[in-house]
Amino acid sequence: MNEGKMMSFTTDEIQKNVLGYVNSIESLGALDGPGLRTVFFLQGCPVKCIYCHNPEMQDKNGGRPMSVIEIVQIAQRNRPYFGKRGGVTFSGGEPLMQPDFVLQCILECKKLGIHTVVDTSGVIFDKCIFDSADLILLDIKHTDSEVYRKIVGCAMDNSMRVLDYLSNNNIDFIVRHVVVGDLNDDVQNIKALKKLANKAIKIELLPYHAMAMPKYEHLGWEYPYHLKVPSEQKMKELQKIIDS
Amino acid sequence: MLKTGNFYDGFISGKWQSEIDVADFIKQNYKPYEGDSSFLSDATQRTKRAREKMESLFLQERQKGGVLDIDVDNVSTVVSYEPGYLTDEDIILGFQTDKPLKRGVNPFGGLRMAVDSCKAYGYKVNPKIFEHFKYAATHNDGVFRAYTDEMRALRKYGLITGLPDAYGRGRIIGDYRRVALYGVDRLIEAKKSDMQSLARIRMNDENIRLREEVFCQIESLEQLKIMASSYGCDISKPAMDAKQAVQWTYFAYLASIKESNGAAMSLGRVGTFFDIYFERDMKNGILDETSVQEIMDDFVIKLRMSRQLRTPEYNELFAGDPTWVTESIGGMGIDGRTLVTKTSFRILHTLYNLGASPEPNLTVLWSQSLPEGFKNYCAKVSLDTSSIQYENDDLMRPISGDDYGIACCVSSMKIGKQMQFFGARCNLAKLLLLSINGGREELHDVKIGLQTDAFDKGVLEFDKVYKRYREYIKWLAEVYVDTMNVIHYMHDKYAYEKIMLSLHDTNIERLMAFGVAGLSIVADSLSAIKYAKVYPIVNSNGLVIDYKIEGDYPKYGNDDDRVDSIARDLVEVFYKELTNSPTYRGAKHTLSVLTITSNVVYGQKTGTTPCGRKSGQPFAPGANPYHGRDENGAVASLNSVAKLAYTCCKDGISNTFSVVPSTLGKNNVDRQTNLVSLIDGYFDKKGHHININAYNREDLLKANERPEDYPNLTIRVSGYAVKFAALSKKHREEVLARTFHNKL
Ligand code: SF4
Repeated sequence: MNEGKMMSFTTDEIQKNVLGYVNSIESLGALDGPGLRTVFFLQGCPVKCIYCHNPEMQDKNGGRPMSVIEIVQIAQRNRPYFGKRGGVTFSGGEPLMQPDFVLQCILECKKLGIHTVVDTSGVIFDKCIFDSADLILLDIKHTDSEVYRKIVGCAMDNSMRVLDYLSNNNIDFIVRHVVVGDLNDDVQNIKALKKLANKAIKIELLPYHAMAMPKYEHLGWEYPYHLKVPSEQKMKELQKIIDS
Repeated sequence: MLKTGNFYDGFISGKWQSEIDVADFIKQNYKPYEGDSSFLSDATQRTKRAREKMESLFLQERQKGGVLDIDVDNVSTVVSYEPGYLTDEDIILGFQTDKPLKRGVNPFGGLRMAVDSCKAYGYKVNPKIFEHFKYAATHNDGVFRAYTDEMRALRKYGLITGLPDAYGRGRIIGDYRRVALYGVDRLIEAKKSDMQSLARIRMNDENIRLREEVFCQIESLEQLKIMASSYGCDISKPAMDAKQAVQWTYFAYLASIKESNGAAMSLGRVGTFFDIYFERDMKNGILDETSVQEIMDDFVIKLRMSRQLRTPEYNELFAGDPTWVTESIGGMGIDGRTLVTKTSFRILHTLYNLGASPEPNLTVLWSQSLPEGFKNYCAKVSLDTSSIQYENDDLMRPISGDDYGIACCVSSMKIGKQMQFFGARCNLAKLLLLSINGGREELHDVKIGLQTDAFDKGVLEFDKVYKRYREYIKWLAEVYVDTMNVIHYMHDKYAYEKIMLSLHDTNIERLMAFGVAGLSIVADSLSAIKYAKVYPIVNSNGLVIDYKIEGDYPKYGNDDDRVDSIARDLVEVFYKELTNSPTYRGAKHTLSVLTITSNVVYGQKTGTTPCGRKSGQPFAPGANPYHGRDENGAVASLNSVAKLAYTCCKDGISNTFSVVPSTLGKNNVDRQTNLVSLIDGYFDKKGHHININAYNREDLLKANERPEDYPNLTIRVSGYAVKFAALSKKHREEVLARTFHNKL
């Protein structure tokens, strides 16, 4: 365990100084981790997936600067809604782009007994955070390195390294996979995914949706019109493979 | 004398036998239920037939433009109609007139309202009714004799609207259960003995009035017996069994809605009371679960068919044709036991057996300590039907005890022990504009109230604007209390609710319920003035009619204390000002933040506000943040509303919450548990009330285009539910514009 590093970050002084850049907050999050959660969408992502549904969060510059204390205060205010299973989730963008900030937030939440989840694309490896969060949501974009590169624009190695680390260190994690019609909705891919993620608590298949279209328009980006929403039928079929 | 005999066999005795005390009877005899919903029974064939008949009548009513039929020859009283039936196999008997959905004419509140209502639907009131009111004044006549010019102006320009000065005030809940538990004779006996006690007091104003009232109460109880006997029932004695208990209770309620055309005619809290009788009959082998549910279903059918005759304008204000047959369900007892019984489940279950529906207005009194099984069932019903509202029992119980009921949407009162003088609401946003203009009304340029200089040049300064606004609040609060005093003096004089008040203690506590609308707009406007730069824009007459805003400002609905504290402060200030003026009959001042659906009409009557809202645009309902300004999700929005202090707003703080079910979780089980967490969370934060709507925006868009295809689509608006199809186009659009919490 990376105790040395964790220790070095727990002084109040540093906590106060670490700022995060937050794109937005969803205080009624019920889809990113168990129970009701407050989801912090952090600004910035090192990659540019073709189907990204939060394109406005890719830019490393921007976001509203917030301190660890502010984050923890919001978590505290929303705590009565968390029920038995809820808590906070750090998503984005790619939250691991701001590792010090996320780590401090997690540690402070842990002190208070607030459940923490990190939702990551796997393009960044951060042992410290993987060791500290209560649950990791790992997005695996594809199981074939060629197609992975096509989707994400970088090599799959990091993603696999993250998966290996989570699998081999008894860390609770859920694998999520966005299913796009004709891109990764083939049985072979899903079977491979199931095998790869055999240590995950759960594999969640998320159907691609076109609801980010207005965001692309707003950014003046061209929308990836060629991507298809998978049919309900298809999703059921793939889900069966996961459940079998 | 105490009536014994076999009415009370199997019941545990107590104080309830020597005094009129239904709450004690319940406490001694009810059986809390901590299980789940698996015991419930589906609709029987008979229920299905009755439902079909009811729905076909609803359809005919809609096709006839909203009113099926009117009896124009009689004045609606407890005994003025022959009995009416839905089918020849009715279990619970009784309609307001001789036919279901046929409306009676009730001119006691105001003759004009009755005449106009008939005219609007193509009917003419029988001249003999005019003849009678030539010699007798109505409540409406009385009020307008006493109103001052200022009161008329406030009313005319919409600073105070919806006042019960031309229609029945409602909001009074008779303890209808008393009739079942004691029988009418025993209740008359008790009233007579109260008359004797009053004879020993010196004859001052209050005592003379009260003696006359109790005299009338006794008369109306006699009439109640006559009405019941026309259905072949002798209610002079207590109910013998569960079916009679429901029937006797319903008769008492029925007499009330015949006698009064009140805006809200709520039922109270009958479920757990009934449950005691159901349990006894089941134990004795008289009833099984199917027949118990069948009785509840038929009872609810009757409640769904209650009707009042109102003008189309009135219906437009309230969106649809509401009667607010509010039934309060669940809650906890002071002794720590839950008041949830199997019948709490059964009444919710009618939403499946009979389909979703706005009425009765099912209101769950939610406590953190409610049994999990019941919480989960409520969440399920909410997600399936959008037909329930929730109110915070943990907040109300310490103030109102454990036998209170909700009248209308959010007004709690101790059943049979408290009554309310209903007072609609004033428009705080319009008042702000009036104060900025120094007493010139912003749309018609007329002078109202305090006359001062206007803030018509340069940037608006928060301290100055707020100070001025508070002076206007002080002025309005005074006139508002006086106006209410006039109204309720006259209402007591000309349209006293004899039967409902006969089912109260003789010495009751009175509440005077004031209300505010436009809270979120004022909070945002003041926040804009404080944190951004707001410049007034004047027209050629020097009247401020618009504002230029430079920069951003914190908005109510984001859990941001900078602006939420302004909202919180506002209700405190307004409430304090109200309490400085004495009320008619020493009523206690209460305040609500509730618009019902009049937020649309309020918007139409209010010019552009400093927050950037344009003239004519609807307000947010109740205490809700303004549409689209809550940017951090629903929980942050709820947190803002939860900061308003219930201690200042004991008449309720209404919040309407709309969510797309799929955002509450990936499957039904998750959605249910998450909804439970959400309600638990909001009430833990001391929120008072929440309407829960669960539907997809796409479905509503479709229903907006073809409302006739969705006759039963029920949605919750501020404090009560309506059928979406019954809303005006403007209201439908307002609902669609509302913030939907659906981040994906
Ligand atoms: S990793 Fe996530 S945020 Fe980054 S580009 Fe891909 S989808 Fe978008």
